[in-house]
Amino acid sequence: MLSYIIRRLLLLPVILFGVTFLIFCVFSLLSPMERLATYVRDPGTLKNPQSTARLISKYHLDDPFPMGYFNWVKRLISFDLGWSQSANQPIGEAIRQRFPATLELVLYSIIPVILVGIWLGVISAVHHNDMLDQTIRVTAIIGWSLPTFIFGLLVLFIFYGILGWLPPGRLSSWAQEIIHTAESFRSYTGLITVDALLNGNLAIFWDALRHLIAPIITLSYISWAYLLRITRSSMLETLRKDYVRTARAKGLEENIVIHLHAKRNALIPVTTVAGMMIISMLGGVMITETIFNYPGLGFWAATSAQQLDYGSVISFALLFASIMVIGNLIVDISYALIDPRVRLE
Amino acid sequence: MRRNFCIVVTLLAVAIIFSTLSFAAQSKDPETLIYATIGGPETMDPHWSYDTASGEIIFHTYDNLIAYKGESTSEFEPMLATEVPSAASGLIKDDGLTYIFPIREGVKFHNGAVLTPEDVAYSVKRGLIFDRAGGPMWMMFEPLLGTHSIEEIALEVTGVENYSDLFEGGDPRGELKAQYKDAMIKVYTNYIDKTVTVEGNKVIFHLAQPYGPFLNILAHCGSWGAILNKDWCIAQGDWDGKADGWWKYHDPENENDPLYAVENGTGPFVLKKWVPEEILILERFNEYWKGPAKLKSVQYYYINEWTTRKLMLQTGDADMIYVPVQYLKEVEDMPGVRVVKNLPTLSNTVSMFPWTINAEGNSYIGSGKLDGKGIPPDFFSDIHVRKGFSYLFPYEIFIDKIMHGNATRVPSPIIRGLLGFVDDPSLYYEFSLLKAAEEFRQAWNGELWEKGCEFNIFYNEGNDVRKAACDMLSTYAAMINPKFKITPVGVQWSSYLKAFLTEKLPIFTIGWLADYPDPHNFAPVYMGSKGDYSAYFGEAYREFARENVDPLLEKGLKENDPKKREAIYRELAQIAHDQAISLYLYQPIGHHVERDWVKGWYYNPIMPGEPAGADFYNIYKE
Repeated sequence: MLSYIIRRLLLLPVILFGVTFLIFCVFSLLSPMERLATYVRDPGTLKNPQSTARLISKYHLDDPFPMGYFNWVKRLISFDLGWSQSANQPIGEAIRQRFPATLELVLYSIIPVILVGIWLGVISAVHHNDMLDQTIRVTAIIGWSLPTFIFGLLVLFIFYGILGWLPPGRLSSWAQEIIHTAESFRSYTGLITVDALLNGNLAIFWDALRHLIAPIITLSYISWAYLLRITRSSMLETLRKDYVRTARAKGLEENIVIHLHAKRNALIPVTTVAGMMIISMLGGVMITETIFNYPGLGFWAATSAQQLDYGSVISFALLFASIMVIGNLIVDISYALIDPRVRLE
Repeated sequence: MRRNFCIVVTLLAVAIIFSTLSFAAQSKDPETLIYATIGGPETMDPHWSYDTASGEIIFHTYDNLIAYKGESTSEFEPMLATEVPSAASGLIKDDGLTYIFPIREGVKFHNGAVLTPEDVAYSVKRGLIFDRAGGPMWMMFEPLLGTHSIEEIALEVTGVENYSDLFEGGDPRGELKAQYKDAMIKVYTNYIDKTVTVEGNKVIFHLAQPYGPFLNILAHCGSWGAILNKDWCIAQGDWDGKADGWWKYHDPENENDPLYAVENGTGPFVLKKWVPEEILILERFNEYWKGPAKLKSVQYYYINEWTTRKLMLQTGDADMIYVPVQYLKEVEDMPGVRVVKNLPTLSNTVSMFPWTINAEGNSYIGSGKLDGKGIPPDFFSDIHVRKGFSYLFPYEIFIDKIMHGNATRVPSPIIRGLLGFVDDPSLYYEFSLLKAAEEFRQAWNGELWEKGCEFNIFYNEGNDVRKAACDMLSTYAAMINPKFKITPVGVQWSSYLKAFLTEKLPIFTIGWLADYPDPHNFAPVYMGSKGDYSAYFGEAYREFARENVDPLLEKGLKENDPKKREAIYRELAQIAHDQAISLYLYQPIGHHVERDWVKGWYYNPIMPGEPAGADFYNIYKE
């Protein structure tokens, strides 16, 4: 097991090199003047006659590709990711500031995704083709086919516009003021709900939770619908297996047959899908975060891509690739732990 | 089990509803104003700042020597100076080459330090040596030193070709080559240091040339004229005020700028917290020299999604929001919301015709010949072509249908609200297909009408207004002569900028936002041989401008008598019309949207962030 993990970790730099190299290649197709656009939102700002040349030289926009890539790797090794034009701050700081927000959103979204997705998937399979199954399937199909930006706007409109219950953003203004200005509030983890509890401030905890609910609903509906379909298919297949028939023939209660015999085995492929789903949620929260003005990584990545802020895009890709590789490894390991028949060696 | 689950869900729902009810009241704190807008500031450094969002914050945290009087863009009132200099008071002398400012006493910076005349002199000199690429300091260089940047002076004094040649390894952030050290020190002592001197309680500016709009440049609203605290700056690791080593503080990267995220001005608000592109909190400065502001706190929320901003306004979670013109109708009838319309902005949008287009590898001009499959590079150098296009554009229809009436026509680069603006009907080109056809028939000795033409016109992708302008030109051109094939093309901003800088665009549409309210900030941009836009019209135009436009621009700049200046800019407006230099499409009209409990808002078009934002010192909530 250990040698497997080491081998996989050794592959990490190679994968990261590949990812960053490809992105760098794409950006090198742009001319220095085109890359200058990141720094010049309006040609009117080039009032100094030498400004264009000064900006190109200042930000090394005319460096040849190998030099540019080499310099970037050199800076990366010294943990200097550069400046994010879209976030108006150093890239490292932008990631540090936004990662906890996205992590908090994804962590809370996982709970309904796993619980509801698997639970409904099992129910749907057990009640195969009856009314309950059909209802669940229709609900899942709606979730699966509804674009996030439509569903998200709908949630925002109903729960904020009409009912006024679930506001956008991460916190209300009064809570923002406390966490940003009050010396008594300390940030331990960056996860506001956790920090609020650690600071003993229930009001901020509830406020943060209230702001999280709408993006969680949006993010999780689509994901649990997908997980439900996987669980349902896997469960249906398992329920037809001989050992399930044997368990029933032994006279075991239906609940025990389903939950102890069938479900456990049916969940093995679901684990892989769920694991990867959680990881990809970290990188796929762009639309949800944008709609709800939730200041996470996804929001920043979307803005960076729009503004051709290539430093930020590369850094986001690097971070996401690292998460994917490590996450994938964890899923593989947990797969072996869940199913003793699987050997990684 | 199921019962427990139900109990938990019910408790959770009650808790959420309870928290909703209890917090809704708190968000409408009468002493806190919430402003939901887009695009946060780049920096807190007044000498870096050249974007509206940064300027807006610096406006509230720093003061300048003088300020505009209320809604006026031409009258001044004292701020950190006790008097506005004038020739009559003897504070402007030597034919406009010397400006004297007596400094107010007892003014406190946010850190408690007291303002001194040395702080004022340091602030100006710090800006001049800071002079970042693409920054605003050219505005101070022009009147004070007659150049555009400190690098120009360094090149002249040291005799090198490129600024980077002065440094080891050609890296301006590296070590200065020893042989240039004395010359670089002279750049400061012989030039920068002489721009501003202190005599007792007075600060004296020594100009290199008479400069009509000098007071406009120094006035509050321009972050480049903000006054900093010298000792505090040095404590932050900024320039120490000495000649030796100034180059280490010149044109830094944003992350290496000591004042990037901190402030210490004398303004009515203190920066309490800034989380870039998320939130910015300003808190009242209780020791403000004019007395504390009525609002205790102002919170900026940077929210790009329109629906979210709209819902925040509707629920009262935001007191003021930025509303793009296309969504204005959605808030006009919203209960409890005030919409102020028809506010003229100090900006314009213009479609320009380069007289000579760079033909090298340029596919935008087709065959590059007048053969019906392209246009020659000097296509627009024929005045009949330019006049033809001037008659071809449906100005009124465009303003009505595309701008939804939120714009007004202007006949020249000198827009409404500026000295020299003329609303003379004879200066406006009317929309007339007949007259357009008549001009095109005369163009290129009749060859154009007979053979036709084919080329691309451009707009930056995502800008629907510019797209509509291009579509209209293209449609009407084909209507008067089917052989006129003009294809609008939307390109990414990066490609648009590149094509503009390399002079490859046949017709390009671009806007300009005033740095200061004076015709000198507009006329040279669109008409001068070195203009920010007109310099890219090709050599034929530059030659024309050097002969016919530049002398007038020079005269207008140096003239101190407003009446005489007005006459000069009217003359320039006449040239713009007679030569049909560009299509002056429109001057946008802005609007302001706030909850009706917000009081004290007024409009000054030069104020950064207006009309969506406000001068929060005057604002209160009822």
